[in-house]
Amino acid sequence: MRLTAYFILVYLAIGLQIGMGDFARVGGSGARPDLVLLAVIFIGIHAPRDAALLGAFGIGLVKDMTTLSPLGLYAIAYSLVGLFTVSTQELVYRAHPVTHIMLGFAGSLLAGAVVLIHGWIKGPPASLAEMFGSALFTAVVAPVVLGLLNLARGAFSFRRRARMH
Amino acid sequence: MFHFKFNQVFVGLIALAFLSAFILPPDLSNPLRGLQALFAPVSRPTRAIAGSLHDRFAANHRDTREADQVKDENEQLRVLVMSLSGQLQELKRVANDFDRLGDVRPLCTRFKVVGDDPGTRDSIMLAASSRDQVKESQPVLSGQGLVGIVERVGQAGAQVRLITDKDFKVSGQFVRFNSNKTETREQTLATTIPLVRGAGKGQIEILNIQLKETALTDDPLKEKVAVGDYVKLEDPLWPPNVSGRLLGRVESITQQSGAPQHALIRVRPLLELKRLREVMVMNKLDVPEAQTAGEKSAGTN
Repeated sequence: MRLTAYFILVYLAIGLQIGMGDFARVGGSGARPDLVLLAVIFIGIHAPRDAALLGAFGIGLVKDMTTLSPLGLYAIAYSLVGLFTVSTQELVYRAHPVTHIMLGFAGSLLAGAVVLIHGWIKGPPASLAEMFGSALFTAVVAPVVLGLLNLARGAFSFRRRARMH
Repeated sequence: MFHFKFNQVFVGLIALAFLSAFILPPDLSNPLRGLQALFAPVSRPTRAIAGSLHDRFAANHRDTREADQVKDENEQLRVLVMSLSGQLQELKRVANDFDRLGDVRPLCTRFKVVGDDPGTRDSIMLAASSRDQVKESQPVLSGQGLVGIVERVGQAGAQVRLITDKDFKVSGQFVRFNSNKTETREQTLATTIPLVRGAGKGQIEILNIQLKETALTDDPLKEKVAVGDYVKLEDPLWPPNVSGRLLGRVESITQQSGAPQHALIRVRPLLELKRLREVMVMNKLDVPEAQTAGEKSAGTN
């Protein structure tokens, strides 16, 4: 994976998420899409396993630097999402919108679960409704965002390790 | 020679992250964090576009008034505009929202907001750094009242904990503004000192006021807290100049489900704090560390 493209993706995803912020909230639960998570899923479905996991951890770590949550929380959450996405690489059709919706929803729930557990243990508790709403919202925008990112896939030079038979 | 496999390195990184997120105190990692302003080239235009789109579409969406009501209001507004035109020169002098800060204005510096919390907390990020004399625990204000407190600051950005964040706690006071034709009088309500805490999602709540001190009961002998009253900061641990700054307006009063004798008072700040585009940081006042609100917040957590 080309590092320059990776850093640009991280920068844009987090910059857009910060800028869009509260204006993207919908509904009573205050749900909003997680563009950073979609970047994690994009890396997860295309990059080789090791690069994808490190990439997911790195994105989470950078997000941790821009939120009030403690350092490491999103690094863990996105690493788990990375692990989950990597594990589905061989099972799914990577360019299919349904794949994007399912991964967006499952990934958001997984990351949300980590944030919820952290809230219960360390406080302040996060809102279950907001997490679920955000997961739905992220799933809805996932085909669009991941579809656009797929167009730029060449810039990342993803290479897969040849399988030994 | 050590040979680490990737899995070992990855598990080590996760373990470190777990240690930092779940075990170590959050303040410990603050010096490592301060990149907020680096994202300003992307986040600021995004925020401007998102804000203007929101203003354009959300306003129409929320308007549920009848056509006749709108016509009546238009007529009243025409009269009002005519009467106000004579005062235009005077109003220009105070057109800048931050002139409302009054005596603390010289102690503050204006900073642009580059975005809000990408996670689930209530915070905003400023294009400010430690080189701008911005320090932790400095109060952050707007013309409409208190916005929050500087939570951490680095070489490339600062993060402000909003008064609506769930970890924000101060003591306050209920006030009511009685207006007549000539003046507006502020009346302080004699209630228990309200302990104000952020409730997330742009709201503040007060849980320690008894139901009998609110308008939910009909005891005519006491001044009761009612919807529409204001809450202002009255906390000895904050700098005296900030005392009296408005925190918000009482939006609803209900009975607490777990404590029937007490009211759940929901307060909404006068502005959508996460949507502010500029704020004032009180960075020219040397506040002794012991008197900062940051210590109070830490103490109450």
